[in-house]
Amino acid sequence: MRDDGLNIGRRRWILVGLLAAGFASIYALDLQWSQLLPNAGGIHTAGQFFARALSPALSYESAVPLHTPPLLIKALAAAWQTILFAAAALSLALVGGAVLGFFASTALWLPAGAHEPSSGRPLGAALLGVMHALIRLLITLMRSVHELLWAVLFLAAFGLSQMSAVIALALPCAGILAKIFAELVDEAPSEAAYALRAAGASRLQVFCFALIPCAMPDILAYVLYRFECLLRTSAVLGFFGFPTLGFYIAAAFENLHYGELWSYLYTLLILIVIADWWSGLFRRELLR
Amino acid sequence: MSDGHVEIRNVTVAHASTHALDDVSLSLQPGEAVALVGLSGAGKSTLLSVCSGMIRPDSGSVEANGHELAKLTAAQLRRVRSRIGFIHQDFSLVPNLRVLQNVVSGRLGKRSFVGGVRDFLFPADDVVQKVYEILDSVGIAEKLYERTDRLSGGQRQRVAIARALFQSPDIILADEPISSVDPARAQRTIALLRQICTDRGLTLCVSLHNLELARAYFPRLIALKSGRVLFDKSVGCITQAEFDELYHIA
Repeated sequence: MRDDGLNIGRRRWILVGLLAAGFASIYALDLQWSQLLPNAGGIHTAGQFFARALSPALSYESAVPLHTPPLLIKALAAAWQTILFAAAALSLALVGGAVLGFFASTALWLPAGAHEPSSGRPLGAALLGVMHALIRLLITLMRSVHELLWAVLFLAAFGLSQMSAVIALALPCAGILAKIFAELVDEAPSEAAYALRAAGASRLQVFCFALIPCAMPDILAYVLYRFECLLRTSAVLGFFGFPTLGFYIAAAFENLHYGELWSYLYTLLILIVIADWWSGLFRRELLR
Repeated sequence: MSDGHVEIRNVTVAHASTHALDDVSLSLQPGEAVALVGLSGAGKSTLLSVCSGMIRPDSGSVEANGHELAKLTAAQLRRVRSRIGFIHQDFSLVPNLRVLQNVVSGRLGKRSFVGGVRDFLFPADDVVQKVYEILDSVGIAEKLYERTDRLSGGQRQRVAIARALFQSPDIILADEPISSVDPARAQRTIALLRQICTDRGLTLCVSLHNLELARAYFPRLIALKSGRVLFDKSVGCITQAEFDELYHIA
Protein backbone atom coordinates (compact mmCIF):
# COMPACT_ATOMS: atom_id res chain seq x y z
CA MET A 1 0.00 0.00 0.00
CA ARG A 2 2.79 2.37 0.87
CA ASP A 3 4.46 1.55 -2.44
CA ASP A 4 1.31 2.62 -4.28
CA GLY A 5 1.28 5.88 -2.38
CA LEU A 6 4.88 6.56 -3.31
CA ASN A 7 4.14 5.68 -6.91
CA ILE A 8 1.21 8.11 -7.12
CA GLY A 9 3.35 10.79 -5.51
CA ARG A 10 6.10 10.28 -8.04
CA ARG A 11 3.67 10.36 -10.96
CA ARG A 12 2.20 13.59 -9.60
CA TRP A 13 5.61 15.21 -9.57
CA ILE A 14 6.36 13.99 -13.10
CA LEU A 15 3.11 15.62 -14.28
CA VAL A 16 3.94 18.87 -12.48
CA GLY A 17 7.43 18.75 -14.00
CA LEU A 18 6.05 18.29 -17.53
CA LEU A 19 3.65 21.21 -17.09
CA ALA A 20 6.49 23.38 -15.77
CA ALA A 21 8.63 22.43 -18.79
CA GLY A 22 5.81 23.45 -21.11
CA PHE A 23 5.49 26.90 -19.51
CA ALA A 24 9.28 27.27 -19.43
CA SER A 25 9.43 26.76 -23.20
CA ILE A 26 6.74 29.39 -23.74
CA TYR A 27 8.75 31.77 -21.55
CA ALA A 28 12.00 30.94 -23.38
CA LEU A 29 10.43 31.77 -26.76
CA ASP A 30 9.02 35.01 -25.32
CA LEU A 31 5.56 34.22 -26.75
CA GLN A 32 3.07 37.08 -26.47
CA TRP A 33 -0.47 37.42 -27.74
CA SER A 34 0.40 40.81 -29.17
CA GLN A 35 2.56 38.99 -31.73
CA LEU A 36 -0.65 37.81 -33.37
CA LEU A 37 -1.62 41.44 -34.07
CA PRO A 38 -0.33 42.23 -37.56
CA ASN A 39 0.94 45.62 -38.71
CA ALA A 40 -1.22 47.85 -40.92
CA GLY A 41 -0.23 46.14 -44.22
CA GLY A 42 -0.66 42.77 -42.63
CA ILE A 43 -4.16 43.62 -41.45
CA HIS A 44 -5.06 44.54 -45.01
CA THR A 45 -3.73 41.24 -46.43
CA ALA A 46 -5.33 39.19 -43.66
CA GLY A 47 -8.62 40.99 -44.26
CA GLN A 48 -8.50 40.23 -47.99
CA PHE A 49 -7.56 36.64 -47.34
CA PHE A 50 -10.23 35.85 -44.78
CA ALA A 51 -12.86 37.88 -46.63
CA ARG A 52 -12.77 35.25 -49.39
CA ALA A 53 -13.28 32.35 -47.01
CA LEU A 54 -17.04 32.54 -47.49
CA SER A 55 -16.83 33.18 -51.22
CA PRO A 56 -14.28 30.81 -52.73
CA ALA A 57 -13.71 31.20 -56.46
CA LEU A 58 -15.69 28.98 -58.82
CA SER A 59 -13.73 30.15 -61.84
CA TYR A 60 -10.29 31.63 -62.44
CA GLU A 61 -9.59 35.08 -61.07
CA SER A 62 -7.44 36.09 -64.01
CA ALA A 63 -7.23 35.33 -67.70
CA VAL A 64 -6.04 31.81 -68.43
CA PRO A 65 -4.79 30.22 -71.66
CA LEU A 66 -7.38 28.68 -73.94
CA HIS A 67 -8.28 24.99 -73.22
CA THR A 68 -7.40 25.34 -69.53
CA PRO A 69 -9.85 23.06 -67.70
CA PRO A 70 -12.37 24.80 -65.43
CA LEU A 71 -11.09 25.66 -61.93
CA LEU A 72 -13.14 23.01 -60.16
CA ILE A 73 -12.01 20.28 -62.56
CA LYS A 74 -8.45 21.39 -61.95
CA ALA A 75 -8.96 21.25 -58.18
CA LEU A 76 -10.43 17.76 -58.46
CA ALA A 77 -7.54 16.63 -60.68
CA ALA A 78 -5.09 18.03 -58.11
CA ALA A 79 -6.97 16.20 -55.36
CA TRP A 80 -6.74 13.01 -57.41
CA GLN A 81 -2.97 13.49 -57.81
CA THR A 82 -2.74 14.08 -54.04
CA ILE A 83 -4.51 10.77 -53.45
CA LEU A 84 -2.29 8.95 -55.98
CA PHE A 85 0.94 10.10 -54.34
CA ALA A 86 -0.36 9.18 -50.89
CA ALA A 87 -1.65 5.77 -52.01
CA ALA A 88 1.56 4.88 -53.86
CA ALA A 89 3.64 5.94 -50.85
CA LEU A 90 1.44 3.98 -48.45
CA SER A 91 1.73 0.83 -50.59
CA LEU A 92 5.53 0.99 -50.50
CA ALA A 93 5.54 1.94 -46.81
CA LEU A 94 3.29 -1.01 -45.94
CA VAL A 95 5.69 -3.50 -47.52
CA GLY A 96 8.73 -1.85 -45.97
CA GLY A 97 7.01 -1.41 -42.62
CA ALA A 98 5.86 -5.04 -42.47
CA VAL A 99 9.32 -6.43 -43.29
CA LEU A 100 11.18 -4.07 -40.95
CA GLY A 101 8.48 -4.49 -38.30
CA PHE A 102 8.99 -8.26 -38.32
CA PHE A 103 12.73 -7.88 -37.76
CA ALA A 104 12.24 -5.14 -35.16
CA SER A 105 9.74 -7.13 -33.10
CA THR A 106 10.59 -9.79 -30.58
CA ALA A 107 8.73 -12.29 -32.81
CA LEU A 108 12.23 -13.37 -33.81
CA TRP A 109 12.72 -14.82 -30.35
CA LEU A 110 9.27 -16.30 -30.04
CA PRO A 111 8.10 -17.78 -27.81
CA ALA A 112 9.40 -17.13 -24.29
CA GLY A 113 12.99 -17.26 -25.47
CA ALA A 114 14.38 -18.91 -22.35
CA HIS A 115 12.56 -22.19 -22.96
CA GLU A 116 12.90 -22.46 -26.69
CA PRO A 117 15.79 -24.67 -27.73
CA SER A 118 18.16 -22.16 -29.34
CA SER A 119 19.47 -24.94 -31.60
CA GLY A 120 22.77 -24.52 -29.80
CA ARG A 121 24.19 -21.63 -31.84
CA PRO A 122 25.24 -18.76 -29.56
CA LEU A 123 26.95 -17.04 -32.51
CA GLY A 124 23.67 -17.10 -34.43
CA ALA A 125 21.83 -15.61 -31.46
CA ALA A 126 24.45 -12.84 -31.13
CA LEU A 127 24.20 -12.01 -34.85
CA LEU A 128 20.43 -11.93 -34.49
CA GLY A 129 20.79 -9.46 -31.61
CA VAL A 130 23.11 -7.20 -33.64
CA MET A 131 20.75 -7.32 -36.62
CA HIS A 132 17.78 -6.48 -34.38
CA ALA A 133 19.63 -3.42 -33.02
CA LEU A 134 20.68 -2.30 -36.52
CA ILE A 135 17.12 -2.62 -37.85
CA ARG A 136 15.82 -0.57 -34.93
CA LEU A 137 18.47 2.08 -35.66
CA LEU A 138 17.50 2.12 -39.34
CA ILE A 139 13.82 2.57 -38.43
CA THR A 140 14.70 5.47 -36.12
CA LEU A 141 16.76 7.11 -38.88
CA MET A 142 13.89 6.81 -41.35
CA ARG A 143 11.48 8.34 -38.87
CA SER A 144 13.71 11.11 -37.62
CA VAL A 145 13.81 12.88 -41.00
CA HIS A 146 10.53 14.49 -42.01
CA GLU A 147 8.89 13.81 -45.38
CA LEU A 148 9.58 17.35 -46.54
CA LEU A 149 13.27 17.08 -45.65
CA TRP A 150 13.49 13.77 -47.54
CA ALA A 151 11.78 15.52 -50.45
CA VAL A 152 14.40 18.29 -50.42
CA LEU A 153 17.18 15.67 -50.39
CA PHE A 154 15.65 13.62 -53.21
CA LEU A 155 14.86 16.68 -55.30
CA ALA A 156 18.52 17.68 -55.06
CA ALA A 157 19.68 14.19 -55.87
CA PHE A 158 17.19 12.98 -58.50
CA GLY A 159 15.36 16.10 -59.66
CA LEU A 160 11.62 16.63 -59.83
CA SER A 161 10.26 13.14 -60.47
CA GLN A 162 7.21 11.31 -59.18
CA MET A 163 9.52 8.61 -57.84
CA SER A 164 11.45 11.01 -55.62
CA ALA A 165 8.18 12.38 -54.20
CA VAL A 166 6.77 8.92 -53.48
CA ILE A 167 9.99 7.70 -51.88
CA ALA A 168 10.20 10.86 -49.79
CA LEU A 169 6.66 10.20 -48.52
CA ALA A 170 7.19 6.45 -48.09
CA LEU A 171 10.48 6.45 -46.15
CA PRO A 172 9.40 8.04 -42.86
CA CYS A 173 6.00 6.38 -43.15
CA ALA A 174 7.65 2.95 -43.46
CA GLY A 175 9.77 3.76 -40.42
CA ILE A 176 6.74 4.78 -38.37
CA LEU A 177 4.71 1.77 -39.51
CA ALA A 178 7.62 -0.59 -38.72
CA LYS A 179 7.85 0.82 -35.21
CA ILE A 180 4.10 0.60 -34.67
CA PHE A 181 3.85 -2.89 -36.21
CA ALA A 182 6.65 -4.13 -33.95
CA GLU A 183 5.07 -2.59 -30.84
CA LEU A 184 1.52 -3.77 -31.59
CA VAL A 185 2.73 -7.26 -32.42
CA ASP A 186 4.82 -7.41 -29.26
CA GLU A 187 1.79 -6.37 -27.22
CA ALA A 188 -0.60 -8.77 -28.98
CA PRO A 189 -1.71 -11.74 -26.84
CA SER A 190 0.86 -14.46 -27.39
CA GLU A 191 -1.16 -17.58 -26.52
CA ALA A 192 -2.15 -18.30 -30.11
CA ALA A 193 1.42 -17.64 -31.23
CA TYR A 194 2.68 -20.12 -28.67
CA ALA A 195 0.11 -22.69 -29.82
CA LEU A 196 1.15 -22.39 -33.47
CA ARG A 197 4.81 -22.64 -32.49
CA ALA A 198 3.96 -25.81 -30.55
CA ALA A 199 2.27 -27.18 -33.70
CA GLY A 200 5.49 -26.73 -35.68
CA ALA A 201 4.87 -23.36 -37.37
CA SER A 202 7.93 -21.25 -38.26
CA ARG A 203 8.58 -17.84 -36.73
CA LEU A 204 7.50 -16.13 -39.94
CA GLN A 205 4.29 -18.17 -40.01
CA VAL A 206 3.59 -17.38 -36.36
CA PHE A 207 4.16 -13.68 -37.11
CA CYS A 208 1.83 -13.68 -40.12
CA PHE A 209 -0.92 -16.05 -38.97
CA ALA A 210 -1.16 -15.42 -35.23
CA LEU A 211 0.50 -12.16 -34.18
CA ILE A 212 -0.54 -9.97 -37.12
CA PRO A 213 -4.20 -11.11 -37.03
CA CYS A 214 -4.34 -10.53 -33.26
CA ALA A 215 -2.99 -7.01 -33.71
CA MET A 216 -4.95 -6.37 -36.93
CA PRO A 217 -7.70 -4.07 -35.60
CA ASP A 218 -5.11 -1.69 -34.12
CA ILE A 219 -2.81 -1.99 -37.11
CA LEU A 220 -5.63 -1.19 -39.50
CA ALA A 221 -6.73 1.85 -37.51
CA TYR A 222 -3.17 3.15 -37.46
CA VAL A 223 -2.50 2.49 -41.17
CA LEU A 224 -5.66 4.41 -42.09
CA TYR A 225 -4.60 7.27 -39.85
CA ARG A 226 -1.21 7.29 -41.59
CA PHE A 227 -3.02 7.48 -44.92
CA GLU A 228 -4.71 10.66 -43.75
CA CYS A 229 -1.32 12.09 -42.71
CA LEU A 230 0.11 11.10 -46.09
CA LEU A 231 -2.72 12.93 -47.87
CA ARG A 232 -1.85 16.14 -46.05
CA THR A 233 1.88 15.77 -46.68
CA SER A 234 1.27 14.81 -50.28
CA ALA A 235 -0.69 18.05 -50.70
CA VAL A 236 2.16 20.07 -49.14
CA LEU A 237 4.69 18.38 -51.46
CA GLY A 238 3.04 20.48 -54.17
CA PHE A 239 5.05 23.43 -52.80
CA PHE A 240 8.09 21.76 -54.42
CA GLY A 241 6.41 21.59 -57.82
CA PHE A 242 4.62 18.24 -57.74
CA PRO A 243 1.11 18.50 -59.25
CA THR A 244 -0.75 17.99 -55.96
CA LEU A 245 -3.07 20.50 -54.24
CA GLY A 246 -0.14 22.31 -52.61
CA PHE A 247 1.21 23.37 -56.00
CA TYR A 248 -1.98 25.25 -56.83
CA ILE A 249 -2.36 26.58 -53.31
CA ALA A 250 1.13 28.08 -53.49
CA ALA A 251 0.50 29.48 -56.98
CA ALA A 252 -2.82 31.06 -55.96
CA PHE A 253 -1.19 32.57 -52.89
CA GLU A 254 1.67 34.08 -54.90
CA ASN A 255 -0.78 35.58 -57.40
CA LEU A 256 -2.94 36.94 -54.56
CA HIS A 257 -5.88 34.91 -55.94
CA TYR A 258 -7.42 34.34 -52.51
CA GLY A 259 -10.69 33.03 -53.94
CA GLU A 260 -8.87 30.27 -55.81
CA LEU A 261 -6.75 29.66 -52.73
CA TRP A 262 -9.87 28.99 -50.66
CA SER A 263 -11.27 26.71 -53.37
CA TYR A 264 -8.15 24.57 -53.15
CA LEU A 265 -8.14 24.66 -49.35
CA TYR A 266 -11.78 23.53 -49.26
CA THR A 267 -10.96 20.76 -51.73
CA LEU A 268 -8.23 19.56 -49.34
CA LEU A 269 -10.63 19.79 -46.40
CA ILE A 270 -13.29 17.78 -48.25
CA LEU A 271 -10.63 15.25 -49.26
CA ILE A 272 -9.61 14.69 -45.64
CA VAL A 273 -13.25 14.50 -44.47
CA ILE A 274 -14.03 11.91 -47.15
CA ALA A 275 -10.88 9.95 -46.27
CA ASP A 276 -11.89 10.00 -42.61
CA TRP A 277 -15.43 8.84 -43.38
CA TRP A 278 -14.20 6.17 -45.77
CA SER A 279 -11.62 4.78 -43.34
CA GLY A 280 -14.30 4.45 -40.67
CA LEU A 281 -16.51 2.57 -43.09
CA PHE A 282 -13.58 0.43 -44.23
CA ARG A 283 -12.65 -0.54 -40.67
CA ARG A 284 -16.22 -1.45 -39.76
CA GLU A 285 -16.60 -3.62 -42.86
CA LEU A 286 -13.23 -5.33 -42.56
CA LEU A 287 -13.39 -6.02 -38.85
CA ARG A 288 -16.93 -7.28 -38.85
CA MET B 1 6.61 -48.24 -35.56
CA SER B 2 7.51 -45.48 -33.09
CA ASP B 3 4.74 -43.07 -34.22
CA GLY B 4 2.70 -42.10 -31.22
CA HIS B 5 5.37 -43.19 -28.79
CA VAL B 6 6.62 -40.83 -26.07
CA GLU B 7 9.53 -41.71 -23.82
CA ILE B 8 10.71 -39.47 -21.01
CA ARG B 9 13.79 -40.47 -19.02
CA ASN B 10 14.94 -38.79 -15.79
CA VAL B 11 13.73 -35.35 -16.84
CA THR B 12 14.44 -32.46 -14.51
CA VAL B 13 13.23 -28.91 -15.14
CA ALA B 14 14.29 -26.17 -12.75
CA HIS B 15 13.44 -22.98 -14.66
CA ALA B 16 12.34 -20.21 -12.37
CA SER B 17 9.33 -19.33 -14.57
CA THR B 18 7.69 -22.77 -14.65
CA HIS B 19 6.63 -25.37 -12.16
CA ALA B 20 9.57 -27.66 -11.73
CA LEU B 21 9.94 -31.33 -12.60
CA ASP B 22 12.23 -33.56 -10.58
CA ASP B 23 13.63 -36.71 -12.18
CA VAL B 24 10.46 -37.71 -14.04
CA SER B 25 10.42 -40.82 -16.23
CA LEU B 26 7.44 -42.21 -18.11
CA SER B 27 6.52 -43.88 -21.33
CA LEU B 28 3.39 -43.51 -23.47
CA GLN B 29 2.63 -46.30 -25.92
CA PRO B 30 1.06 -45.63 -29.33
CA GLY B 31 -2.71 -45.40 -29.04
CA GLU B 32 -2.66 -45.25 -25.26
CA ALA B 33 -4.91 -42.93 -23.24
CA VAL B 34 -3.41 -41.47 -20.08
CA ALA B 35 -4.57 -38.84 -17.60
CA LEU B 36 -2.09 -36.67 -15.72
CA VAL B 37 -3.51 -35.83 -12.30
CA GLY B 38 -2.32 -33.76 -9.38
CA LEU B 39 -2.76 -30.41 -7.68
CA SER B 40 -2.13 -27.22 -9.59
CA GLY B 41 1.54 -26.39 -9.52
CA ALA B 42 2.48 -30.08 -9.48
CA GLY B 43 4.17 -29.73 -12.88
CA LYS B 44 1.49 -31.20 -15.19
CA SER B 45 1.66 -28.36 -17.73
CA THR B 46 5.44 -28.35 -17.62
CA LEU B 47 5.49 -32.08 -18.32
CA LEU B 48 3.21 -31.69 -21.36
CA SER B 49 5.33 -28.82 -22.68
CA VAL B 50 8.43 -30.98 -22.26
CA CYS B 51 6.77 -33.72 -24.34
CA SER B 52 6.21 -31.29 -27.23
CA GLY B 53 9.67 -29.78 -27.01
CA MET B 54 8.36 -26.35 -25.97
CA ILE B 55 10.34 -26.56 -22.74
CA ARG B 56 13.80 -28.00 -22.88
CA PRO B 57 14.65 -29.97 -19.72
CA ASP B 58 17.78 -29.14 -17.76
CA SER B 59 18.66 -32.81 -17.71
CA GLY B 60 17.26 -36.09 -18.93
CA SER B 61 16.01 -37.03 -22.38
CA VAL B 62 12.71 -36.72 -24.23
CA GLU B 63 11.79 -38.89 -27.18
CA ALA B 64 8.66 -38.34 -29.26
CA ASN B 65 7.74 -40.36 -32.35
CA GLY B 66 11.14 -42.03 -32.07
CA HIS B 67 13.13 -38.76 -32.21
CA GLU B 68 15.22 -37.55 -29.31
CA LEU B 69 14.12 -33.90 -29.17
CA ALA B 70 17.40 -32.45 -27.85
CA LYS B 71 19.31 -33.81 -30.86
CA LEU B 72 17.04 -32.30 -33.51
CA THR B 73 17.71 -29.21 -35.60
CA ALA B 74 15.11 -26.44 -35.49
CA ALA B 75 13.56 -27.70 -38.76
CA GLN B 76 13.45 -31.31 -37.55
CA LEU B 77 11.89 -30.20 -34.28
CA ARG B 78 9.19 -28.35 -36.23
CA ARG B 79 8.43 -31.57 -38.13
CA VAL B 80 8.10 -33.57 -34.93
CA ARG B 81 5.91 -30.87 -33.38
CA SER B 82 3.67 -30.87 -36.45
CA ARG B 83 2.77 -34.47 -35.50
CA ILE B 84 1.85 -33.53 -31.93
CA GLY B 85 -1.54 -31.89 -31.42
CA PHE B 86 -1.58 -29.67 -28.34
CA ILE B 87 -4.87 -28.47 -26.84
CA HIS B 88 -4.18 -25.53 -24.55
CA GLN B 89 -5.99 -24.59 -21.38
CA ASP B 90 -7.07 -21.19 -22.78
CA PHE B 91 -7.66 -22.72 -26.28
CA SER B 92 -5.08 -20.23 -27.70
CA LEU B 93 -7.12 -19.32 -30.76
CA VAL B 94 -6.90 -16.06 -32.71
CA PRO B 95 -10.20 -14.41 -31.69
CA ASN B 96 -10.78 -12.22 -34.72
CA LEU B 97 -10.27 -14.95 -37.31
CA ARG B 98 -12.85 -17.32 -38.79
CA VAL B 99 -13.12 -20.82 -37.38
CA LEU B 100 -11.87 -22.16 -40.72
CA GLN B 101 -8.69 -20.10 -40.48
CA ASN B 102 -8.00 -21.12 -36.90
CA VAL B 103 -8.39 -24.80 -37.77
CA VAL B 104 -6.29 -24.49 -40.93
CA SER B 105 -3.47 -22.89 -38.94
CA GLY B 106 -2.98 -26.25 -37.21
CA ARG B 107 -1.35 -27.53 -40.38
CA LEU B 108 1.16 -24.67 -40.81
CA GLY B 109 4.00 -26.85 -39.54
CA LYS B 110 3.56 -29.09 -42.57
CA ARG B 111 3.19 -26.26 -45.07
CA SER B 112 5.60 -23.93 -46.81
CA PHE B 113 5.09 -20.23 -46.15
CA VAL B 114 3.32 -19.71 -49.47
CA GLY B 115 1.22 -22.84 -48.95
CA GLY B 116 0.23 -21.46 -45.55
CA VAL B 117 -0.83 -18.14 -47.06
CA ARG B 118 -2.92 -20.01 -49.64
CA ASP B 119 -4.59 -22.20 -46.98
CA PHE B 120 -5.26 -19.11 -44.94
CA LEU B 121 -6.65 -16.73 -47.54
CA PHE B 122 -7.77 -18.92 -50.46
CA PRO B 123 -8.23 -22.44 -49.08
CA ALA B 124 -8.70 -25.13 -51.72
CA ASP B 125 -12.05 -26.93 -51.80
CA ASP B 126 -10.60 -30.16 -50.43
CA VAL B 127 -9.04 -28.25 -47.51
CA VAL B 128 -12.41 -26.64 -46.67
CA GLN B 129 -14.05 -30.06 -47.03
CA LYS B 130 -11.54 -31.65 -44.63
CA VAL B 131 -11.98 -28.84 -42.06
CA TYR B 132 -15.74 -29.23 -42.39
CA GLU B 133 -15.50 -32.98 -41.71
CA ILE B 134 -13.30 -32.43 -38.66
CA LEU B 135 -15.63 -29.72 -37.33
CA ASP B 136 -18.49 -32.12 -37.97
CA SER B 137 -16.74 -34.80 -35.92
CA VAL B 138 -16.56 -32.39 -32.97
CA GLY B 139 -20.15 -31.26 -33.55
CA ILE B 140 -19.78 -27.65 -34.77
CA ALA B 141 -19.68 -28.03 -38.57
CA GLU B 142 -22.10 -25.13 -39.03
CA LYS B 143 -19.60 -22.73 -37.44
CA LEU B 144 -17.08 -23.09 -40.28
CA TYR B 145 -17.18 -19.44 -41.34
CA GLU B 146 -18.11 -17.92 -37.97
CA ARG B 147 -15.75 -15.46 -36.29
CA THR B 148 -14.08 -17.34 -33.46
CA ASP B 149 -14.76 -14.68 -30.81
CA ARG B 150 -18.50 -15.02 -31.47
CA LEU B 151 -18.48 -18.63 -30.24
CA SER B 152 -19.28 -19.83 -26.73
CA GLY B 153 -16.53 -21.23 -24.52
CA GLY B 154 -17.53 -24.79 -25.29
CA GLN B 155 -17.57 -24.15 -29.03
CA ARG B 156 -14.16 -22.49 -28.92
CA GLN B 157 -12.83 -25.49 -27.09
CA ARG B 158 -14.06 -27.67 -29.95
CA VAL B 159 -12.32 -25.40 -32.45
CA ALA B 160 -9.11 -25.93 -30.50
CA ILE B 161 -9.64 -29.70 -30.66
CA ALA B 162 -10.39 -29.46 -34.39
CA ARG B 163 -7.20 -27.47 -34.94
CA ALA B 164 -5.18 -30.18 -33.21
CA LEU B 165 -6.93 -32.89 -35.27
CA PHE B 166 -6.29 -31.00 -38.53
CA GLN B 167 -2.57 -31.51 -37.88
CA SER B 168 -3.18 -35.25 -38.50
CA PRO B 169 -1.23 -35.87 -35.31
CA ASP B 170 0.04 -39.15 -33.87
CA ILE B 171 -0.11 -37.75 -30.35
CA ILE B 172 -2.60 -35.42 -28.68
CA LEU B 173 -1.57 -33.57 -25.54
CA ALA B 174 -4.26 -31.60 -23.71
CA ASP B 175 -3.51 -29.22 -20.85
CA GLU B 176 -6.57 -28.87 -18.59
CA PRO B 177 -8.88 -28.75 -21.61
CA ILE B 178 -12.02 -28.59 -19.47
CA SER B 179 -10.99 -26.05 -16.86
CA SER B 180 -13.18 -23.30 -18.36
CA VAL B 181 -16.40 -25.16 -19.21
CA ASP B 182 -19.31 -26.33 -17.08
CA PRO B 183 -19.25 -29.87 -15.59
CA ALA B 184 -21.75 -31.41 -18.04
CA ARG B 185 -19.82 -30.10 -21.02
CA ALA B 186 -16.54 -31.13 -19.40
CA GLN B 187 -17.66 -34.73 -19.33
CA ARG B 188 -18.84 -34.65 -22.94
CA THR B 189 -15.56 -33.09 -24.05
CA ILE B 190 -13.45 -35.75 -22.36
CA ALA B 191 -15.68 -38.46 -23.81
CA LEU B 192 -15.31 -36.87 -27.25
CA LEU B 193 -11.51 -36.65 -26.99
CA ARG B 194 -11.30 -40.27 -25.89
CA GLN B 195 -13.60 -41.39 -28.70
CA ILE B 196 -11.70 -39.50 -31.40
CA CYS B 197 -8.32 -40.73 -30.23
CA THR B 198 -9.53 -44.33 -29.97
CA ASP B 199 -11.08 -44.17 -33.46
CA ARG B 200 -7.93 -42.74 -35.01
CA GLY B 201 -5.47 -44.72 -32.91
CA LEU B 202 -3.88 -41.57 -31.44
CA THR B 203 -1.89 -41.43 -28.23
CA LEU B 204 -3.72 -39.18 -25.78
CA CYS B 205 -2.33 -37.56 -22.68
CA VAL B 206 -4.64 -35.17 -20.79
CA SER B 207 -3.88 -33.25 -17.63
CA LEU B 208 -6.97 -33.06 -15.43
CA HIS B 209 -7.96 -31.47 -12.16
CA ASN B 210 -11.06 -33.57 -12.03
CA LEU B 211 -10.14 -36.93 -10.53
CA GLU B 212 -13.61 -38.47 -11.09
CA LEU B 213 -13.43 -37.85 -14.84
CA ALA B 214 -9.85 -39.09 -14.97
CA ARG B 215 -10.86 -42.34 -13.28
CA ALA B 216 -13.99 -42.76 -15.38
CA TYR B 217 -12.44 -42.23 -18.79
CA PHE B 218 -8.78 -43.19 -18.57
CA PRO B 219 -7.37 -46.67 -18.01
CA ARG B 220 -4.04 -45.30 -16.76
CA LEU B 221 -3.34 -42.40 -14.41
CA ILE B 222 -0.02 -40.68 -13.83
CA ALA B 223 -0.01 -38.65 -10.63
CA LEU B 224 2.40 -35.77 -10.15
CA LYS B 225 3.12 -34.19 -6.80
CA SER B 226 5.65 -31.36 -6.38
CA GLY B 227 7.26 -32.21 -9.70
CA ARG B 228 7.72 -35.93 -8.99
CA VAL B 229 5.74 -38.95 -10.17
CA LEU B 230 3.77 -40.16 -7.17
CA PHE B 231 2.26 -43.13 -8.97
CA ASP B 232 1.82 -44.36 -12.54
CA LYS B 233 -0.70 -47.20 -12.62
CA SER B 234 -3.76 -48.58 -14.29
CA VAL B 235 -6.78 -47.09 -12.65
CA GLY B 236 -7.96 -50.28 -10.95
CA CYS B 237 -4.72 -50.74 -9.03
CA ILE B 238 -4.67 -47.35 -7.33
CA THR B 239 -5.50 -47.48 -3.64
CA GLN B 240 -7.51 -44.89 -1.76
CA ALA B 241 -4.42 -44.21 0.34
CA GLU B 242 -2.53 -43.19 -2.80
CA PHE B 243 -5.29 -40.79 -3.85
CA ASP B 244 -5.35 -39.33 -0.35
CA GLU B 245 -1.63 -38.76 -0.46
CA LEU B 246 -1.91 -37.10 -3.88
CA TYR B 247 -4.37 -34.49 -2.67
CA HIS B 248 -2.98 -34.12 0.81
CA ILE B 249 -1.42 -30.71 1.15
CA ALA B 250 1.56 -30.97 3.43
